[in-house]
Amino acid sequence: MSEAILKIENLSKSYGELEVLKDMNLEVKEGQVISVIGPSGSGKSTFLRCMNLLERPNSGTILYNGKNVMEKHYEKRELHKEVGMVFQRFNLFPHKSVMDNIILAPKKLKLGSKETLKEQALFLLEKVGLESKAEEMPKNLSGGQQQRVAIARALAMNPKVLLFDEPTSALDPELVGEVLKVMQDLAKEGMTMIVVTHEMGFAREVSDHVIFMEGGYIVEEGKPEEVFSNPQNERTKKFLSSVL
Amino acid sequence: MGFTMKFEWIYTWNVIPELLKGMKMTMFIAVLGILLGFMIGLITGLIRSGKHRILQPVTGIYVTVIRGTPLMVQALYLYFAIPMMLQFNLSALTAGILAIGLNSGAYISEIVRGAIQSVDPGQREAGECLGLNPFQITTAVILPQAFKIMLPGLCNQFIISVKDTSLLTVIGVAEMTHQASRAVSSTFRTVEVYTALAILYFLLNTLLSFLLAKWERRMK
Ligand SMILES: Nc1ncnc2c1ncn2[C@@H]1O[C@H](COP(=O)(O)OP(=O)(O)O)[C@@H](O)[C@H]1O
Ligand SMILES: [Mg+2]
Repeated sequence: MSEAILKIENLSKSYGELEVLKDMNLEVKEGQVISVIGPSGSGKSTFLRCMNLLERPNSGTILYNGKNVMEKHYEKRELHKEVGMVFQRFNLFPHKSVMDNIILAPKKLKLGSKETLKEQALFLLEKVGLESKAEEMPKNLSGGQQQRVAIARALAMNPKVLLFDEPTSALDPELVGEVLKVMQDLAKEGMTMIVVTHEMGFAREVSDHVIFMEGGYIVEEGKPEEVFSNPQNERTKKFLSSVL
Repeated sequence: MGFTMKFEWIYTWNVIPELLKGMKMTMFIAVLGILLGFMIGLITGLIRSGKHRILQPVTGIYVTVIRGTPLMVQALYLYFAIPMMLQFNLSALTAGILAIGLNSGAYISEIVRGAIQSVDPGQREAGECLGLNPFQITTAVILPQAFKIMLPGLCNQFIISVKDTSLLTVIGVAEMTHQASRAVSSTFRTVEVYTALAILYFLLNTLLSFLLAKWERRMK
């Protein structure tokens, strides 16, 4: 068995009095695709944002490649260089072209010469089916195209893990498929992914492991076949019957 | 004196060359003052939108003090009080530029802070998740977007500062209002001279508003 690339133990998070995450545990192995499902407000985004320290957990441990990233002097920038994130609302830089969105961070972090980075960006754009859009401004793209650019931008950092927070929830229904397709390709290539999603088809077909969250707890988890076809918990059953 | 003089346009016309000299000074002070104000405002605005333990409150006090006192008092203080306390000389012109700079700086600080806060927080998060450091996020992601939001406020502040220079007449800077007062005391043509002054300010600011609006549109 390979070591976990990401291991979360007893993680909890509160906003003031409101306990949003209660004793979360998760082990992510390299190449694994994990889907996180659950009703809105159950803490899925917060859980994901804690994983890369966008939110600081109140307690618990997060081990990335065996290193505790919650230690006081850990530089979270180091984590961000290896754990990428794709947002529900894309968060592209509106003042930069598609190309500049992709090469901005690698250029600032001096990951290669401008030519190499541009070449790599074009390769990534091809991969997400947008090689013709390199010089467009984000606002001239559809939501689905913007999200694919955002994925290419995250990939330009050569991440080891990619986090997706409802990447298709802000899209018109007809644009969801093109983004899921890109994510599915990534999964096939062995990218380690943690995906918060309402796309049950994706969770079922693409992921290796499904987590059902409610009220800040992991209520049920397991292989997608198990969770979807034979849920053990009443609340899982209720949630699944409401979304399927 | 017990009699009123008939309004004669010739006096309005004749004083214009002198006032134009003052206008040059007005513009000189306004431009240098607002440049200084922009630098001060940018730096303090950035500090105020952060959470530095010492700098944040200090810049907050600066903004509060400037906004809570009139520009004329600030100019008097800079020109007379501070040099007297610290035993040095300051030319009226330097004091004037400093006054406009410090004064507009406080207002620009608010403009900058407001603009930075109105940039979508997701932009900072996106930068953070790409491994950028806070400086890189500020300069490459936040400020270019905030600058667009600031533009109307900055242009507005520039017009205000141009008009504000007239208050510097109290410390004897030879700007346009000061030139007008001098012309009045030598010709006693109060109405004609101040009419010329009002017209020139009006034309100047209308022209500036027009140019700034054009520039603003180009920057969008
Ligand atoms: N920054 C915040 N401050 C206060 N409460 C928050 C904050 N972010 C999320 N919450 C609360 O935490 C709970 C979980 O939110 P979230 O993680 O966004 O859920 P989900 O992504 O599953 O919809 C919700 O009740 C939400 O209101
Ligand atoms: Mg969410």
